Amino acid sequence: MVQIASVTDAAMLVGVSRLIRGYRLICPASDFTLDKDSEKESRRRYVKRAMDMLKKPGQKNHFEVVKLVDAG
Amino acid sequence: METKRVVCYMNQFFGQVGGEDQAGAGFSVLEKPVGPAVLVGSTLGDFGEVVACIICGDNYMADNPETAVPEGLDLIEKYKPDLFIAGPAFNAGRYGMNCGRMCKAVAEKFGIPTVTGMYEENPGAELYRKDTYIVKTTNSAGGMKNAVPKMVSIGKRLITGEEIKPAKLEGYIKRDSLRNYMTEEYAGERGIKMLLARLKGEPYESEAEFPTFAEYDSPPPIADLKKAKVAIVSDGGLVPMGNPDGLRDHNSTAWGEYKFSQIFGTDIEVYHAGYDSTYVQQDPNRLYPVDVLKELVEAGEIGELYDGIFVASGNCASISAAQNIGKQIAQRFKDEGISAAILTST
Repeated sequence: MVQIASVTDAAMLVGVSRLIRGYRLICPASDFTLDKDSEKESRRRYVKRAMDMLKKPGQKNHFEVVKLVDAG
Repeated sequence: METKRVVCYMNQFFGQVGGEDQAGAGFSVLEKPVGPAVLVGSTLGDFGEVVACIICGDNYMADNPETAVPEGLDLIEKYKPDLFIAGPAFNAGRYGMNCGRMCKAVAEKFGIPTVTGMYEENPGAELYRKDTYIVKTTNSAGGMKNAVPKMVSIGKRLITGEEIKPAKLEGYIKRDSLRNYMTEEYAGERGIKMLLARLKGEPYESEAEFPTFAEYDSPPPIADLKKAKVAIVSDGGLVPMGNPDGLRDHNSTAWGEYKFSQIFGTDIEVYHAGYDSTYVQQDPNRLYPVDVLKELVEAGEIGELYDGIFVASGNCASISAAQNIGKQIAQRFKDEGISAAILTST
């Protein structure tokens, strides 16, 4: 299991070993401030990172940060 | 002060109905003390009188609490108690749960104080410690003579309004309630003493207790995601309109499993009082990323997306409730062959 959560401290406290820092507490799995297509891309990136983490050993006291938009 | 009326609740064994063979026995009422109520009555002295013993088989209550609890409440009502004492249940799990649920129900319906007693590890203790006073007992009935006087003492003071000290001092299971009481030393003095002890490596005791969590091994990596069945779990409390499984917006013990058709393109609502759910209600994919997971299935990158979202409400959920929910969801994973999940949290 991979958890996507903005409050990473709480997740790490209970020992989550595959953790992604979510966008915001009110909207964890995508950046709602973006236009529709860009938001979906942000969500795609979260989920793809989650799938990548499922294929690797877990790591406690650690969370991944996903880059949601490309520069430029 | 007029003599207070006390009703006691006990199971079939302590009520002298029978042993495990009578665990399915329904309610019976005795209008005199029996079992632990005898000691309750003698401890009460002139303060109160046990006017009734409500006896119920452990299984009768545990198997159907939705009907048994109201039945018990109806029996209790006619006795107009000022105090309700259940058990003590020691380490008997069903009995402890039943004592806890009856205490909670009596307090809610009649607004009277309730007290029970359990061993710390009794499952009823964690579930009901905030709903009633649970005196710590030994794990067997050998501790009856110690437990009952403490239960009665707390019960009397709940009626008279006399001070009930913190759990550690009184010997009941902590209720996580914050209360002020006077000490001889100021907080600053106590804090400095604690700091000095810590710096010297001497023992000290924190005034605030922190929860401890069990350690779990990290699950191994998924060998082949292209064959994996993936599911979505969330504590964001977004459910079909009508909340079919009765999630609460705080302190919830319920959870639900919903097909995509029950969430997307239909009326929904959120039972979670801990966040502004505007954005996830506008587009549930923001909490349950079904759209992009379906893309991964179509691209052959994951084997299957399970058509079911497992939903709980994480606002102020107790650790034990969350653990129970997790175990139940894990069983559903086993039932459906789900090997991986994304958990979204708000």
